Amino acid sequence: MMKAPSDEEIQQLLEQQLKEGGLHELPGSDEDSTLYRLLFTALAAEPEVSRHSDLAKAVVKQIKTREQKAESLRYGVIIATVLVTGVIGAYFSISYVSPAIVGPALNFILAYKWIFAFIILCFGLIQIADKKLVVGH
Amino acid sequence: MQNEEEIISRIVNGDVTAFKILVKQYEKLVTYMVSRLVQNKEDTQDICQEVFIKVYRHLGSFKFQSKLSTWIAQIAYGTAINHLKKVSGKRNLTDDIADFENYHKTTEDPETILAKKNNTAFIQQQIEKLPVHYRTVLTLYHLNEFSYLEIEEITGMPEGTVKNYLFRARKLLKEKLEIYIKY
Repeated sequence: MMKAPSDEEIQQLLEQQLKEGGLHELPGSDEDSTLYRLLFTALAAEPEVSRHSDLAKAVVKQIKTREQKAESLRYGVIIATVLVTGVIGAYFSISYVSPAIVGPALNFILAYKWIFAFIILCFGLIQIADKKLVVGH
Repeated sequence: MQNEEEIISRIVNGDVTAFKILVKQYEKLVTYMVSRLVQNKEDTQDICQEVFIKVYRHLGSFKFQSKLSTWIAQIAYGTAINHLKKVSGKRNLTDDIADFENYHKTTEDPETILAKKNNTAFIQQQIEKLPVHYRTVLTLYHLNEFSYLEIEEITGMPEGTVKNYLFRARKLLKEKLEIYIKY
């Protein structure tokens, strides 16, 4: 009498069948083989899962929201840094810089005021253009 | 199906439409995996979104050393497992396997069994009761059709462990199915 295949042997045979493209009855199949065949069929069946109606749209929306938050945070940090630097700078200027030095420095700034104004204007325009390009993108 | 390299390059250059195509292509893979591992419907949807956000962020670093599906499954597995660790606190996920014997001995009463629709529905229900690592290998092998090597790459479990978990999970389910059919 032929010895019934073990669980391991049945599983291996059915795996082989899966690779070859489809499950069919094993030669000389016993109850275990039939049960495993039913099991393999059930395991490959798509489960009933609740899927998002439009996952792609939801993900893109989430990404955009997070990017906007990160962008706002970046600008917040820049503004805070500028303010803090300004306050610290003003504090040190008032406390440690003598009027004898401040006078010539102010004269220098006044003499080249248009150059300074142009640099500030360029910096502002670059920032605005950068933001617009990021949003457009 | 469009060329993956082309789609990835379009996404990296900021093409949202290409990213939507990619999400649609791998939605089933991620949803099946996450829902099998996490089991809470609300959490599942959030985690699926989280997985694709990670895919979007890290796509630039994908070097085609593996299949894109394997790489995405790896992210999905990691995200789902991290969520489970957070939810289950300090309990080790492999502790579930220690409960294996209890699961094995638990048999439902015939009335409950008869109330179930069919073999497939019964098996799906039984899978949900298995330890997380068993559910993972079953889903990756049978539903997502990954090879042993790919499952090893996705989960980080050695190939021998993957084979062992798969064998034990199937044997356990076969025994459950046998009881179910006999009633």
